Amino acid sequence: MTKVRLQVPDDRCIPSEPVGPCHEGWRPELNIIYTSPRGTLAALRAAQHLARDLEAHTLLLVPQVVPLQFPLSSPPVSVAFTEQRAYEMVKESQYDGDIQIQVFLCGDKRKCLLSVLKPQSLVLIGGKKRLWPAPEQKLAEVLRANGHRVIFINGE
Amino acid sequence: MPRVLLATTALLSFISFWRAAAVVLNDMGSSAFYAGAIAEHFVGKTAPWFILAIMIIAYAVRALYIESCSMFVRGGVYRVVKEAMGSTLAKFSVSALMFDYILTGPISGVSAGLYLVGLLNELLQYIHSSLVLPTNQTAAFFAVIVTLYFWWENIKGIPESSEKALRIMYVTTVMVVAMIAWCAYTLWVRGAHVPPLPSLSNLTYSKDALGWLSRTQLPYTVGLIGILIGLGHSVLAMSGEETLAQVYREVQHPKLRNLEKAGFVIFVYSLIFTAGVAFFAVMIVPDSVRQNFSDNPIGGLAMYLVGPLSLRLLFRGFVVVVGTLMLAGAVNTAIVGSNGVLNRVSEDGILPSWFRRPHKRFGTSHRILNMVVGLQILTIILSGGNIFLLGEAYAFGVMWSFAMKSLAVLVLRFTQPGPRDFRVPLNLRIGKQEIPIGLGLITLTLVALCTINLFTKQVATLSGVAFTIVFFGVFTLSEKLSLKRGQVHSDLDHFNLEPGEDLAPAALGVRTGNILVMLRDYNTLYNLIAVLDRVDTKKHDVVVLHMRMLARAGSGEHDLEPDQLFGVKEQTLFTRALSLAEKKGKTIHLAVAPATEKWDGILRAAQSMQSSTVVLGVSPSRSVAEEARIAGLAWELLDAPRPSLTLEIYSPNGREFVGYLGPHAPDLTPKEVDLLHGIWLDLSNEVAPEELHHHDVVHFSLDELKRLTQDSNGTRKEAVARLRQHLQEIKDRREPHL
Repeated sequence: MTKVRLQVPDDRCIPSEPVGPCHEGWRPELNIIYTSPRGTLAALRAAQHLARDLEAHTLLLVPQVVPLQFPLSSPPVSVAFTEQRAYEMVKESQYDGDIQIQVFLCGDKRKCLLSVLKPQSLVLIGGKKRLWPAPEQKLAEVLRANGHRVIFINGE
Repeated sequence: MPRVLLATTALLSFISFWRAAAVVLNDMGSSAFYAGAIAEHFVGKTAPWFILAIMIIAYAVRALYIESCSMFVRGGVYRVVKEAMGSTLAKFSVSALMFDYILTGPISGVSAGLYLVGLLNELLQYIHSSLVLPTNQTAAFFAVIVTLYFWWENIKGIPESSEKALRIMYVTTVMVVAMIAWCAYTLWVRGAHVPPLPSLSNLTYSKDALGWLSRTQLPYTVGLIGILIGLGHSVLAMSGEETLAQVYREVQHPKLRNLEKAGFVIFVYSLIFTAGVAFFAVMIVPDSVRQNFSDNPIGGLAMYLVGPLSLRLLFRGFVVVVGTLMLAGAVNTAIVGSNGVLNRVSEDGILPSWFRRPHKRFGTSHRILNMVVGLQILTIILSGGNIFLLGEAYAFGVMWSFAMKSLAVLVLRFTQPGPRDFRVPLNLRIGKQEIPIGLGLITLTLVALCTINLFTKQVATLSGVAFTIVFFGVFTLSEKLSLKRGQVHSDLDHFNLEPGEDLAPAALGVRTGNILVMLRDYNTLYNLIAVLDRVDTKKHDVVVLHMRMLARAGSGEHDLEPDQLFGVKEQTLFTRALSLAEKKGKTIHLAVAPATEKWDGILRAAQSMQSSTVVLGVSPSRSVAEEARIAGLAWELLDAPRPSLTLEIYSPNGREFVGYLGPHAPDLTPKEVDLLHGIWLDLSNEVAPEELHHHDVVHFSLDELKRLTQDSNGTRKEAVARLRQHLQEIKDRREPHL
């Protein structure tokens, strides 16, 4: 579903959004990309220590590709299910810091990630390391080629 | 206690016309592997001409799709027919489309199987094995395996990307180029005859080509009937063109021009590939053996090219690999497509929502997938892997969904005669009435082909009509039940509401210097259209803000719930705004904010969003000058530091007022520049050798004016009176306001 920012005059909102490094209270951002369940779990566990050491703001980015035959806001995998799965994953990883899960409904996973990641983002990708490039390794290469700092976590 | 925050965003991303063409060709090109041979089976050696004619008709149908896309960004058959001719015919069209999808999977899977079995049997023969695989049964088995594989992939919800389509097209192009070059060389070495022209004397119908018309002499005596029968048996060649409507959503700006380009690429490619295969097969493969390869014509073509056997076998292997990739892809597309269509109609209430209930483990609409795949496997088993039987039935769904779409676009020309970004060419205007000759001819041709197929394709007619009646009945019954239960459907998009205390660039994921477009009414979005036409969203983000005006008494006492800020009006407004953005191929960001006073709300939003420009439509109650004045006053009341803002106000006829809020360099008229230059010229000699610049003249004049207006001994009064007189004098020369 398309996100609509609702400005409401109360304090029920999400914690303050990450702001640029020139602002007071700036914290680095740690972006975990949702890949396979096992890979994501490994990345979340690895992120725990990293986020604590860096005092980073952690985001779990879940790119959900919607085929052309479906409206962008109604993908074949229910949005509620995708959100729940990502949430369960965070719970299973026993991640003990604050984390923001962002599900992106998009037509192309790579394009989506390249457009949502800020320049030179710190990215964690979990996956199975193989002799031939696995999709997660290829994704890591693409992000590196676009100037992001990518840490590949072997999920096995 | 750690906090987990969840948000979902739909992210529009756009693809080039090359990639869009690749997606469509993945579907449409797969028919090249069987369409020519099926047509030849029914109408003999003249078949390549019919395939060529169908490719040209497909080009005309492309224009039809472009016109429908210019009206509806998500303009599938269901949506367009429903808009033009109502719900009943839309249900009929969607039933025919489902028949098309149910058949696409089996015909593609069986065709891939036939290519594979053909190669395997050929290899077994060369190694002197006595084993011969039963062709149709093995192909059917292969089709079932492929279908089950993609069923499982779809149950798991693993999507295909346009990247994969592009890669398959790269490999296919290598095959097509090699095939054309090799075929041309073969023809040059051996020579050949062009297939006979499709005249009555050259048409040789097979036993099953005429259906109920076999009892009449019409196919043998009336040329037009013969031509229509030939075309009717060749229409499979343009199946897959409907993907144009699906791909339009993702085509990048300028969308329609890019869709036209994609359509042209598709036309040229399919003309060369599909028609080329049909011609080369008849010209190169000897008549005596060609029927042995009627189920895998490109495989046969590979075996009769000039060159060493090992090289030909290698090429045939390559053809099988490419064919399997494309045809298996088409099996998947059919499953995804039917899942998409049934989800869409289920959302509309014409299929019980029970079908959409998500899978417990994977979250997909498994009931729809099970039903579709079950029907596909049943079709494969019933056909026994007979490609001609499948081909005959397949044409029913393809043709009726095209014909209904064409009829709908034609009807819309009369019911919604307004301007369109694209019209099918050949339109005659008599007075105020437009006669769409081109569109009429396309519709007539498609309806004629549907009609002739009804008589000649007995299996297709019986099975297609039965299937359509069953689906139509289910849809109608379900719709009635939904209406009874009050499950009102809606064409509105769903939005994820993300409450937050402030509007900030980071919260919306936009850059500073963005353009803030204020939307009030979903019927007056002309300011957004103007911005989307002009702004390059790669350089500047566009934020669409709806200001929810609150009465002062009700605004601060209680917290506002999200649904108080975001009702049906806002949902409609943003649905239309998103649709416009999709149409223009540009990304927008949406926000709603409450305010008690219009300009205070707008300027505070612009300040916190760090916008560079605020864009509005004209106010129904205030003149533009008055609006700008109030905006200026509200700007002064903002907390420091106040931002410099450009204010753009658009009228429905496209006229634009540009003003500035905050300190800014004024726009000087040529006369004012002349005046300044004259003063500078006059004084620069006087003050020489001191250096005098134009800005010094401005600075000095302003200081003098300030001194005059601050003097209390009557000079201020005099200055103001002279200013007033000046304003009166230039009043007539000012540009009229919007």
